[in-house]
Amino acid sequence: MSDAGKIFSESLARVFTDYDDTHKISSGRTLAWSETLWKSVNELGLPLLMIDDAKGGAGGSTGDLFDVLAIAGRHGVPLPMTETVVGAWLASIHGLTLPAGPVTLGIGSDMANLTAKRSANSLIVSGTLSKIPWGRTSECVITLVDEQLVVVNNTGHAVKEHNNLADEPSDTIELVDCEISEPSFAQAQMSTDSILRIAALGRAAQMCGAMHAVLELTMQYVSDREQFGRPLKKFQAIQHYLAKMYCEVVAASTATRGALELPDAWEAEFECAAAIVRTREAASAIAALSHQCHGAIGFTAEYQLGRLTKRLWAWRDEYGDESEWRDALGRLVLSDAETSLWQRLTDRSG
Amino acid sequence: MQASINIRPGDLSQYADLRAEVRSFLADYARQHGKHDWIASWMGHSPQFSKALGERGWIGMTWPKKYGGAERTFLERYVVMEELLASGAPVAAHWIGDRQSGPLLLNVGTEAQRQKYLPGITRGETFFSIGMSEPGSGSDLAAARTKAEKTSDGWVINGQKIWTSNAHNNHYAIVFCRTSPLNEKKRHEGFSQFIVDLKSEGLETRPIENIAGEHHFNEVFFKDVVVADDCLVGEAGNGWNQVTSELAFERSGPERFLSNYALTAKLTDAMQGVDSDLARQEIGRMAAHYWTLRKMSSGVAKAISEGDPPNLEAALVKDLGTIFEQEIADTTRKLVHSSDIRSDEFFDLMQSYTVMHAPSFTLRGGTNEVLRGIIARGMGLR
Repeated sequence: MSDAGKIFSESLARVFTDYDDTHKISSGRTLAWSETLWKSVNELGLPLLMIDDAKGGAGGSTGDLFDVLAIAGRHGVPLPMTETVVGAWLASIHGLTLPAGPVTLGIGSDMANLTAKRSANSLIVSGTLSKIPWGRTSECVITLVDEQLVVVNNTGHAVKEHNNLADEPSDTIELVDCEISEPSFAQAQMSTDSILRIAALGRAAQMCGAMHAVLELTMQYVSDREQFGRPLKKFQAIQHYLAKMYCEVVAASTATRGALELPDAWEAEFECAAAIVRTREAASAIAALSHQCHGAIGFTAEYQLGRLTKRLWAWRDEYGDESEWRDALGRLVLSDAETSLWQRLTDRSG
Repeated sequence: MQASINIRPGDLSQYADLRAEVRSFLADYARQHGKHDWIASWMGHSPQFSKALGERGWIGMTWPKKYGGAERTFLERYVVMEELLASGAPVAAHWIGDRQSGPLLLNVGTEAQRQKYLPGITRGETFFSIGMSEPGSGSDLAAARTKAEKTSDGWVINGQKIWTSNAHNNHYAIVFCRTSPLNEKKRHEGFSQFIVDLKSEGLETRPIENIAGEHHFNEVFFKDVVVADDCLVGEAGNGWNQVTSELAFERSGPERFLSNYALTAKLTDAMQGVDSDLARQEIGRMAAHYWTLRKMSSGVAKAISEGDPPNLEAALVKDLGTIFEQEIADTTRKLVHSSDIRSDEFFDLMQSYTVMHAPSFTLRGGTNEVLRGIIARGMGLR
């Protein structure tokens, strides 16, 4: 991690802690968009994290994403965090201008079903953007069509509002002959898969943060709650559940951080998919064990566990669902008789 | 919770040359001697293989040169170990000495003990067994009752050890003994460790056949076995602390998720080009676990190289790793119908071997329940 990542994650931790305190988050329901929080995050310069120093950015790399996004996930921040950082980075690489305000992503066949026509200096885009995180509250959507990276300004389109199961916006946006002028599109310098890898790893880092928060909350609960005359944490069965949760959090965090820290991480097909698959599997295990430890209270809308576990359940299938990533990884391993699994495991060993 | 949620992996990319060297050594050795005993991996006892490895300088490779070591890093050692395990090579003969007996002597042994035992270990000629478990002392090691009593010029050992792998093949065992009477309030006090020659007078080993029909285990009986003063390892009475750090080494290595990698290799090679959703799902998941475990495991090696005792991390990796390797036998069963590997005799042998040995993965070196207790303590729950 560079200094940029360290400074950002520390500042964000302060902002989010204040946010927790001022809003006294105790509801199981996800909070709606917070303009105040967005302003604080934006003023800290979050979109600049991965932009080159030479372009006025903070000069961070994908390796800096882990801490920044994990902290957001840990605090249950209701903002398009991965989308903002990755979006600003993509725009900068491609020399695209972004409107001020939150950015979101529509990457991959799941999210973007678009066609484009060329006219003189513009691109006419039609089709459907689906499952767009925070679509209705974002100024623009960065997407890909015909190998062009495109910034779609988010006004004047028909938006069908959906929520994921964590009550976060996951909207459908219909584009009808939407005219995109330069410099709002450019030849994509990365493949759809490469961008999807970074977006999914960003989400994975948020999941690692959320898993960490679930573990801490569960630790607190089993210390406070007494049954049979002693705190739950004194029961060996409960200790083993928590040990198992800890193993899963460490596995997921080590994998996700490890993949993000690879040089040119977006090219690392095997490693990214491995980290994404492992993190999603951990999320399911942690959600289940945390609810088991909490008993009925964890299952209420009022208690804050649900705020975190619902995100884990929703996020494990965003930017490609879990079985798609497993399939892609399996396909890769089985695709080339000249390269053994062991070679893949050891070749880019970091 | 104070404990970190990250393990920082070791950077193994700098040792590509060493990795290539090990691969080519293994290929040559297999060409010359065949691979018939490569099924059992780190349960496969081959003095001939260990000697060949010793000649390459790959046993005790982090140890000082004056004891026959190569003064290489723990990460270099990690590269050699994982290549050996991935190939399924028979490494059992030297494995314990390299992994824990040697490091124990380096940590707390006398100069004379180091000079006497370490060079033989590094040459792949001197083999050690572990002398911890007893009939009444499995997970609860502090219940050990084998007793060593001080005499004028040494110690006399009486009692019994059990599950002593390769006691019938190896030269020495480091035997965990009670040397002061049990104090119920301080059960961990009053233990000491001794290097015992497995051919000593009064020592008898009896085989215990495992469910696969093999003889690895033994019972070892001690009847007035006399050992000299210079067989005491470390300090008398400090056995518990010593054995705990020895166990951290025992639990820390990649053998805790690569025991049956040879089967995985065979399976994934055989499945190349097979068009099956199930195969992609299962192999994708398997690859994700291997990749993650390897990151974590190399992080443990890195921690050791930096002088941090990685007890908690080692417990994490062993808990996750052994459960995962236990699943491999079943994953293989699920997939075998979609390839023609069923007719491969060697694969069939490996598959049966893994099914029968899988129960031992989550038992040996500390059960997963014991490990979770260690993890819970590290988390501040107990």
